[in-house]
Amino acid sequence: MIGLFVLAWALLLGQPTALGARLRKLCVLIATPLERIGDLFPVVRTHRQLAADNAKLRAENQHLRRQLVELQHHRSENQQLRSLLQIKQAAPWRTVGARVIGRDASNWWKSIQIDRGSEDGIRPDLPVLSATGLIGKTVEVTARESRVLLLLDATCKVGALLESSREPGIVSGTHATLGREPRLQMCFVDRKSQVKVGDAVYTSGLGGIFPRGILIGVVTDADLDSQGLYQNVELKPAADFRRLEEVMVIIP
Amino acid sequence: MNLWLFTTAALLCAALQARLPTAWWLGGVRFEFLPALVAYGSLSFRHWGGALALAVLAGLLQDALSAGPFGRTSLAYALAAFGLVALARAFDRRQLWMQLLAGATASVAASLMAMASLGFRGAMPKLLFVAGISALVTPPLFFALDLLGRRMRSP
Repeated sequence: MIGLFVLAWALLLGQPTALGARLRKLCVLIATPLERIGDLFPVVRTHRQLAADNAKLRAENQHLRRQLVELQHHRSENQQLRSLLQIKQAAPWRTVGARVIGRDASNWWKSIQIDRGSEDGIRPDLPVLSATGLIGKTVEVTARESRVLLLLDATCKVGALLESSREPGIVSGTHATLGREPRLQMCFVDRKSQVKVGDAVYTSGLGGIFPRGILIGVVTDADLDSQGLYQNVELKPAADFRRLEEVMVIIP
Repeated sequence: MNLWLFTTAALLCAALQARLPTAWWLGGVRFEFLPALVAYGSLSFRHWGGALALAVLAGLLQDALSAGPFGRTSLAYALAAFGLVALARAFDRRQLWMQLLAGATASVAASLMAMASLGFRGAMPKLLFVAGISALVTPPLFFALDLLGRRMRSP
């Protein structure tokens, strides 16, 4: 029935009669707004689709950003570990890698806490290195953790040599520095010796704790001490004490 | 005063002090919360025993998280608490200058004790700077702990 009705309707509309023309106009008049309304539905559908896509992409973007941050962290950690590995392979000593898990709570003492202790072969007075140079020595050791006294501490003293002149001295930190980058001081350097800015300073091996030849820092300044008997040499430490994450303990 | 409040505050202050990073633009100085807590305890307790116990606990916590000789900061804080309790009997603890002075006093006591081991030479500017920062930390701690104390007392 419907088929017949549609066929009759189509034939009637197709006729070039006045009735056919009127019917066609009527159909157009009715159909056009319906067509417009019909057109709206895909738009609504598309809008909803876009909103869902947008939310999904935002979530994906956040996830990727998080992954990027993690990757950057892993990359920098990887670089540090590679540097430590290079030192470990080149060094003639047995070494134990450790992670920094805490810092000193006081403003006057400079130390860090690492996640290795006597169970890993650590004992007091062992030298500790970062990827770039000497950072200090172990002082307090428990089964699974140790405290490392940093070179920046005034009580940590290291026998040292100037690279070019082979002049000996003692390197230590200073507790009184304020408002600038951390610096070390090298005391008891002969007043007549030539000290050049930029000269590297290494451990001398004297004192029985630090092996010979570990980089401590570079000279930034030098002047005579208050009595005029020795030179006081200021050093920029080779290790970046602000970004200590992984370190290596030397076990002779 | 609530024992649990003080113990929790001491642990939180120690954790904050150890964990907060030092700012090199601020002279590489660490924010010290334990001297502020010692100041709070000394001005809030009505008796010597409580103030001294809190001072010793705060000092032991600081020494446990530091390379300094164990027990020295306790002694320093205990001495500071001794003086501050006497001061608290003469003045109103709610006055801002009183809180600032108390925080600075506890910090100076701990710094002097550290310098007795490390040497005094050239350390005065840093001592004053550290004391100033401790003083500034003290009034917010007073406010927070007073508020918390009131909340805990109210039904």
